[in-house]
Amino acid sequence: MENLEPLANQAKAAIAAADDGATLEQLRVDYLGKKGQITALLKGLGKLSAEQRPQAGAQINVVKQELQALIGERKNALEASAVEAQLAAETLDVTLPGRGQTTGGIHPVTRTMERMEDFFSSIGFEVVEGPEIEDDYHNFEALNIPAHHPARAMHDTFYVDEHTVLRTHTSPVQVRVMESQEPPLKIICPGRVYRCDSDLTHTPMFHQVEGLLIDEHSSFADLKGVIEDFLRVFFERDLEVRFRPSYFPFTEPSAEVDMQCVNCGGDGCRVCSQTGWLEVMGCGMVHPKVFEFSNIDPDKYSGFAFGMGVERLAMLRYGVNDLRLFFDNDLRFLEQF
Amino acid sequence: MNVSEQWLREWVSPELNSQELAHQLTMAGLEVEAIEPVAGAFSGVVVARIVSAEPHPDADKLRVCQVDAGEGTVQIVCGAPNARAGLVAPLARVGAVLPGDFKIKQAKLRGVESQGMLCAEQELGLSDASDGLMELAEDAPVGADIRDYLQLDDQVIELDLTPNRADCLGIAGVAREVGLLNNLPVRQVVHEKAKVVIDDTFAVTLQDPQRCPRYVGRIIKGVDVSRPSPLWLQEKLRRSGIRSIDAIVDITNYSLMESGQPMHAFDYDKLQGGIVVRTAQAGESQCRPAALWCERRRRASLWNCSTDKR
Repeated sequence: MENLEPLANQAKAAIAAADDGATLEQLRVDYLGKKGQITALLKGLGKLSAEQRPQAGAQINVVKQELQALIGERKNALEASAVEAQLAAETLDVTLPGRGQTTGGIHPVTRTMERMEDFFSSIGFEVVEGPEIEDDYHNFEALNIPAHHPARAMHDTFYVDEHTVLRTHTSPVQVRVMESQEPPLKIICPGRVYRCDSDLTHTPMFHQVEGLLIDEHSSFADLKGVIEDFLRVFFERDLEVRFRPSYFPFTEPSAEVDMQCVNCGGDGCRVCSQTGWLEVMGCGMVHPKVFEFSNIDPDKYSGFAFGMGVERLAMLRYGVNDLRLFFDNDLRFLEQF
Repeated sequence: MNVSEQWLREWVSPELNSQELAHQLTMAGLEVEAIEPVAGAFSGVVVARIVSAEPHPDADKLRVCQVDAGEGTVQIVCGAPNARAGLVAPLARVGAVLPGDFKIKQAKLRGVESQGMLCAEQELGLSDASDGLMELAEDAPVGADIRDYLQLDDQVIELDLTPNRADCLGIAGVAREVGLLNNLPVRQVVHEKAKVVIDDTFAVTLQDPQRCPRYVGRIIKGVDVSRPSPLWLQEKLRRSGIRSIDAIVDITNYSLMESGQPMHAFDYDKLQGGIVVRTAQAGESQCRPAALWCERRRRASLWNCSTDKR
C-alpha cells in the first residue's frame, strides 16, 4: 500500500502529458485495465487483515476514481482540440458570391457567314457544303484550270498528295452540285479554304462564300442586281458599286466587284490605298467549258457565279484592321461581338 | 508589269492625264495597282563635269573638285570613291532641294569651301542604293537641268495583270490596248534587216518540235561588254524594274520589255556542241548548261540546253 501515492502521481503526470487518444487509452489499460496496476492493488486487498481492508480499499478507490476522471477530462480536451483543428482547416466562407455562368458569343466570322446565308436564303438560294480535302479534278480540272494552266499560280495550293489538295476555293462544291443535280440551281457554298500564304492580309486558312445560279435565262444583269442588293443589305448603306473586268478561268466574262470605301466614302484613305474603292469579290458568267465538264448543256443554260472572302467582309463591316485577330482567340477581342 | 508612261506614249499618246489613263486601263481589265514617280521630288540639279579632283588637305577620303556647271566653275568637296577628273555627274547647286526637303547650302567641309553637292542615284531617289556618284554620258550637256536631260517627269504605271493577258507583258501590248480603247493608231515597229556579215553558224536541235517548232539565232561578234549601255536605255530598264547589267543583257531585256518576247544571248566562247531544245527530264529543276543560262523552270516546260565547255 505504501506505493499507492507514487503510483498515483506517476499516472497523473503521464495522463497530463498524453497528446493523443491512443496514448491515453494505453494509459487507461496500464493503470485501470483488468491487468492494470491500480486493479492489481485492489486484487491484493485480500491479503490484508480485515481491519486494514476497508481503509485501504477506500484509498485505492479514491485514486482510481481520480484517475478515471482525469483520463475523461484529458480525452475531452484532446477531442475538442482535434475538432477545432479540423474546423480551422476546413473553413468555408459561405458569404462569398457564387461563380455564376458566363455567356459565350458567336465568332465574328461565323456571325458574318450567317448574315450572308440569311440574305441569300431569303432570296431562294440553298446552302450547300462540300469536302475540304478535295481532289485535283474538282478543285482545278473541272473549273477549266488544267495542269500547267498559268492560273494555277494564282492559288498557293497545299497538296495532300499528287492528286489531292486542301481546297483553295469553295468553287469545287459548285461542280459537285452541278454533277448531282439538274438545273435550275440556286446555291451558296460557305466554308473553309486553304492557301499557303501568311501575312497581314492573308491567313493559311480562311472562309469563302460562293454563289451559283443556273437557269435558262440568267444574265449578267441578274448577277449585278443580286450583288448590289447583297452589298446594300450586308453593309446597311447605299454604297456605289462598280464591276471591273477581270479574269477567272471558270467564268467568262469575269469581273471583280469594287465597292466605295466604307471608311472614307470614296475620298481615298489608308484602308482603300487612296483609291476610294475596295475590292470585295470576284464574279462572272459560268464558262461554257465548266458546264460541259458537268454535262450541262451550255446552249440551253446560262449561269453566274460569285465568290467572296468572309474575313474581308467581316473586317470591313466591323472595322477590324488586322485579319489575324480573328484567329488569335483573344477573348478581349472576341467578346466585343 | 511596270510601264513607263513616257515609253508608252512613244507608242500611243491619248489626250488623257495619268489618272485618266490609269482609270481607263483598270476598267479595261488591266488593273493599275499604283502610279509611282520615277524619281524623287527635287530641283536645282544640273549636269556637271569634274574638271579636276585633288585630295583634301585635311581628310583622307574627301576630294576637292573643280566642277564645270555650265555657268562657270564651282568648288565642290566630295567623298565619293569615283569622283575623278572628266566624270560627268549630277550636281545639286546651292539652293537646290533634294528628296526629303533637303536644302543644299554653301558649306565648309573640314575647312574647305563647298558650293553644292555631287549626287549619287540614291540621293535623287533614282535607286534604293548606290555606291558612288551617278555617272552620266560623256557628251551630256553640261549645265542642263537633270530632270530635263533624263526626262524624269515620268511615272511608272504598275499593272497587276491577270494570267490571260500575257500579251500585255510588253510596252507594245499595252500600247495596242490603249490604242484600241482610244481609237488611235499605234506606232508600228519597222524592222531593218541587218546585213549578214558573219557566215559562221551554230547547230540548233529541236527535240520536241511539237512544243517548240522554231528557234532562231544569230552569231554576233566583236561586242565590247565593258562599255555601258546608253543612259536612255538604262533609264527605260530602270523604270521597268530591271537593273542594267551590260550592253548585251540590257539589249535582250530591252527587247523583252518592249515586245514581250523573251530572248537570251549565250556567250559563244563558252559554248560547244550546239543548242538543244527539249523538255526537262524528271528531277531537273535547274539547268545551267551555259554560264549565262541559269533559270528555274517547271518540269514539263521547255528547256533550252547546250553543253558547257567546262
